[in-house]
Amino acid sequence: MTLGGFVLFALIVFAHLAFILRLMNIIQWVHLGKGELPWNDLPRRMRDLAVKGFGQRLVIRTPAGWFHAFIFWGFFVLTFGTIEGLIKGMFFTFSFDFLGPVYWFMNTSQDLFAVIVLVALAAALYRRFVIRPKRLEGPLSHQLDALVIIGLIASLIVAYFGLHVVEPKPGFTPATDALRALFLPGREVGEYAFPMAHAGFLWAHNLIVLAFLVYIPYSKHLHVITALPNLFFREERTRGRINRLNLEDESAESFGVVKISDYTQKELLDLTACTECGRCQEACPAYNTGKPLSPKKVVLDLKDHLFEEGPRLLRGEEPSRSLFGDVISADVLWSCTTCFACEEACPVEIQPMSKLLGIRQARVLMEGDFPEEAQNTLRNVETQSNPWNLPQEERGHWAESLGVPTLAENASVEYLFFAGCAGAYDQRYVRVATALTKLLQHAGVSFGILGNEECCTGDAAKRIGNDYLAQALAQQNVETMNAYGVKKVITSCPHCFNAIKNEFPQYGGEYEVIHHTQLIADLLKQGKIKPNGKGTGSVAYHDSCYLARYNDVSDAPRVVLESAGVALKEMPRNREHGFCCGAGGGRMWMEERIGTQVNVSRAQEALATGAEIIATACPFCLTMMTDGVNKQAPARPVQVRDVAEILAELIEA
Amino acid sequence: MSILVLLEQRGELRPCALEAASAARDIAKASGLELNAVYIGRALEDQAAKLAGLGIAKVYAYENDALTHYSNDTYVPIVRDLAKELGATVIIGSASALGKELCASAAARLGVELAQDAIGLRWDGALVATKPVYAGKVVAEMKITSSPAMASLRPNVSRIEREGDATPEVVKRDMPEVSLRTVLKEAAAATSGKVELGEAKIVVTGGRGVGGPEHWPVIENLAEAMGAAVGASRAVVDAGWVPHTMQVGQTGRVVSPDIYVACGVSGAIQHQAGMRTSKIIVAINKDPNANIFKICDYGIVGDLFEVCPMLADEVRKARA
Repeated sequence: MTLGGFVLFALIVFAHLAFILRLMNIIQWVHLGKGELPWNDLPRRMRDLAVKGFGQRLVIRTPAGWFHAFIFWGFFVLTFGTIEGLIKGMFFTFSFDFLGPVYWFMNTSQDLFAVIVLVALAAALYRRFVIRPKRLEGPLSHQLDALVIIGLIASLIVAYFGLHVVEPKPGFTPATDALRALFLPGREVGEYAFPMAHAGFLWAHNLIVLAFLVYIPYSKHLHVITALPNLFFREERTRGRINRLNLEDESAESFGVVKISDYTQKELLDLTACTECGRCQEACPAYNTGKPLSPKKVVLDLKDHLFEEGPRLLRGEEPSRSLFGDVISADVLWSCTTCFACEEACPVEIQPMSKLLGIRQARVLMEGDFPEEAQNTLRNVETQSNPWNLPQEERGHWAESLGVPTLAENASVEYLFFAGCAGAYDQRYVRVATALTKLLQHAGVSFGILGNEECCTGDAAKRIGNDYLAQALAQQNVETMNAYGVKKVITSCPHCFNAIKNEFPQYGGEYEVIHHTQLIADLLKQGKIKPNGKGTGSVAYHDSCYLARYNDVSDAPRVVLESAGVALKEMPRNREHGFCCGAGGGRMWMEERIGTQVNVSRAQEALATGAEIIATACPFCLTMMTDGVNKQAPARPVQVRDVAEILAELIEA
Repeated sequence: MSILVLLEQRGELRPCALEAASAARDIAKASGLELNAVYIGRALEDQAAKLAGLGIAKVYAYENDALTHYSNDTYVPIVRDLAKELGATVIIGSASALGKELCASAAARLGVELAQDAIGLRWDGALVATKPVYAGKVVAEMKITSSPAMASLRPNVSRIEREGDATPEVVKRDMPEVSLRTVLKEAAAATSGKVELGEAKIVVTGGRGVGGPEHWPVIENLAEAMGAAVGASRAVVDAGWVPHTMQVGQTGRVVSPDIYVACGVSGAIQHQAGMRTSKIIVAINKDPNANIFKICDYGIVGDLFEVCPMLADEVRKARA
């Protein structure tokens, strides 16, 4: 080994030590969280790693993601040359030559990927600094960080080409050959022909690699290390289920997330995996209407907070800044509509919405602190089991003249129709429940209702953070339903649908739950409903988040509308990429004082399609879209109606 | 051995003070204890007449203009010291916003038990208070065994019954100097019209049907004629015509007046949640299918710009 070799060796040791020490710190901070990182269910985890990680499945959902994918794959291909370079730097004569055809293949692919990566980097630069999409915006430090990383990778490729121009390797290397023809036309080459240049490129190459190694764990490029583990440790979860808190645990000193270490280890690992791509922010209804909430910023703020407080927490000290207030403000916390768009959009399965829910639980359960307008609603749900404080004994009134039996009268019906608070009390939505009832009766479906025995499912309470109230309501409903031996449930409200389908199983309530649009679509298919197809006009269907995004119900309402014979118009953001109406997560029961209103924004999008009818399949969406349309006073008359209402008109008795 | 009733005033003796006195008199009769009262505020003067027939033997009046406004600093020690001086065995106050604080503070200083916000009081060898618990699902009877036993009575749940017209003896207690740590300089409340929304017996509310802020005086005019407070639907507040303090509904104020007049309000359920318990609901709306007509007692299908001024004129004539 030469002197240079020793120096490089020392640098390699130093860089790895710096890297490992930082990584150990981060691992310790992640371990401040509750529980443990799960290792069960290995086949699924390996599959996730392969498909979503190495396959970049979630990344390439957007066109720009393809550039990332090629840089990512290029990274692995070029690692071969990186290792060879490092060894060669220490032992001058080293080469992977002895691998024969493998060596030939590796050199060939490196030549190809070096070009691809360079192109991808140029695209990344162009996108970030010329196109400047809003989702990539951030403080100067983030932009510099990105520039450093793009610069380091680009220099690495330049050094790679330099090295290989001077010293040809076996393989099909058209790019390198072309550069050689350009810079050294007709010259004899080889590492001894240009010793200085060769040594220079080799050193440059190695130093950049080592600089990168040290820089990674301090930068947003930390995701290079953490994203794959984050995908691996992802808990398989039921979308739309917020796990019930163990409120009986008498040793618990707090409920929900009071401080950063109240998150689980997996949730803290989440924070470290953020790539700052901003897809969550781009999809977020709060961010897009001028609220201070950006899911990306939530994750990054929590990450900074963890890294800042980590050392203090490890020493057993209290954090210097409080999670709620100092890191996540009330306006950020309560702006979330729990529409799930952020978690759907994240390419590495980070869960910003769930992080906010944990804090909400702590605010509500520990401090009784939440927007005061929501107090009426929670109190009403608590006393009368509906948000409007209407008498529980009037819950069955809506169906009195419709000839629908209650389960108390006849429990042998096939389906329970769970009317929900809106279906039972809101005169506007009673019209929808009535239309649906008539459709079902027309099709000869055997069904009954719970009437006065039905309660709110607790969806809003749960998502405001009042887990206690939500649990009590779920428990009560499950007891009633199980006592009647209910097997199949029809809901018209997607929030009831989600709660009964995804949350009630935690209370021993296992039912086959079907949304009214799904049932109607089935009945159409079976020929039990035959609409006359005389529907007129054009219809824009607004997807409910709790149907389309949470529960993958987006075909059924469209099938129903198509059968009505109306012209279906799609908004730009539809199905699982739909834009929230603004009412989820308890926002229905709060005032919206910051920015523009979400429902107005969405109504504009719907009106822009030119449709004469805006169709919904959710009582919250119906109210929000109606208000949103009214606020704009469109020149032409626009109706907002439920899918079931539209179809019910077209049935001839 | 006596009963002490705390007479609440805000410049004038309040009805809740007389309700508390009336209830205390019944306890006095049942227990055979003497009934006395404490009054703190501006000079009692002619107000003593309001206390006629309530069976109060003596009113201890701590008079000073500076005490017109409630102050925990001064009120609580007065109640504590007087209770000890008289050897009071029962203390009864009002469960108004101020009364609740006064009673809680006094009970703490005396180290005794308090039944806060009782809806009924009776004597059964000791003071027994009835009060709703679990959000009104259960009514509990609580026997207060400490001495003195304390209770605060919810306003508007019991009647003022007078027996005879005997007025109490007024015992003036000197309050030459009052030093307050906090002084009320000004009560700045956002008012809606001339009458406060929450306490109004009549409320007139405007909705989207009013069309624009320039037409809002139509609503104000009707409210003025009826002596009503002005409310607004969410649509109107969202549009910025009036402040949020005037919003009636799910996310605004919940009101329960004797008469509620909804003008140009469609009556979405979120609005109903704020006014449904009104005793008489009058709806004025162009759209005969508006939900408001399903819950109103009197419905007028018509243009509010015609109906409201006409109604205002008729009310003024009838009142004149």
